[in-house]
Amino acid sequence: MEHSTEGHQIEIRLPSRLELLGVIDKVVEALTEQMEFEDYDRDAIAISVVEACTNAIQHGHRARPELTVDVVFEMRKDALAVTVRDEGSGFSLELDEDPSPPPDLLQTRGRGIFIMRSMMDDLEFDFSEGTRVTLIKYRSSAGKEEEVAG
Amino acid sequence: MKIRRDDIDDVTVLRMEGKIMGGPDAEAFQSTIKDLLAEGRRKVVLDMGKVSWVNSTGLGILISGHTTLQKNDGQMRLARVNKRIDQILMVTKLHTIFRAFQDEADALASF
Repeated sequence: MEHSTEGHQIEIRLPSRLELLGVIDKVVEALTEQMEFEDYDRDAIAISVVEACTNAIQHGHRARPELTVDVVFEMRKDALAVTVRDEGSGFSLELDEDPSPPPDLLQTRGRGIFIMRSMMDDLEFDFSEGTRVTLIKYRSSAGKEEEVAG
Repeated sequence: MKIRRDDIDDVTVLRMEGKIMGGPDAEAFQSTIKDLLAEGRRKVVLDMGKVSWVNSTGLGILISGHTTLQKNDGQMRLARVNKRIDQILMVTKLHTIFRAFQDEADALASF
């Protein structure tokens, strides 16, 4: 089935305010429904995109609202690719971390990258101009978790 | 995030509402927990039925509440967690730390 969203791109510029994450969440919810992702994947994408924006606002911009976060949704034939771009470089420290949950589960920080890596199919970073993270989820990945679990 | 408090015998139910995502949420939650401890109330159920989602910073807030209670001989339970929050708890393995119950009555009875 050809999806009406295929090949389209949506761009949102967000002030660095955590309370606006709900707007991004709603966009993800609508797009993933339109693209007919499975429920589990829809939640995984929403959690990950919110996480990427949280990192951009908190680590990249230190929550300075005058700095903006650009979020680009690219609806591909087989995937949704979401790029989150900030003007800072606060991600690099976290990138050095082992991509596993904190060894001390009671640690209050350091889970963002791990969550995104666990829930998305691909995660790409580019530090050439600010910090840019691209999260990709393939439509065909629906059900992977069930196969692994089974 | 909004927090409404209900005391049911020796258990306090904190009815959370909205999104738990850091910023002022951290201070509000930590201050609520400290107030409870100051009153000698150490058993807390977080009713998550009206929480749509939690991000990693929000998880940190829940962990710090759990840790503060534990250090003061208290305990915290979660109730009515939706599937999205359950998914993030499973991925981060925090489901092994937080005891979660489908409904509030089970959470209350668990102390």
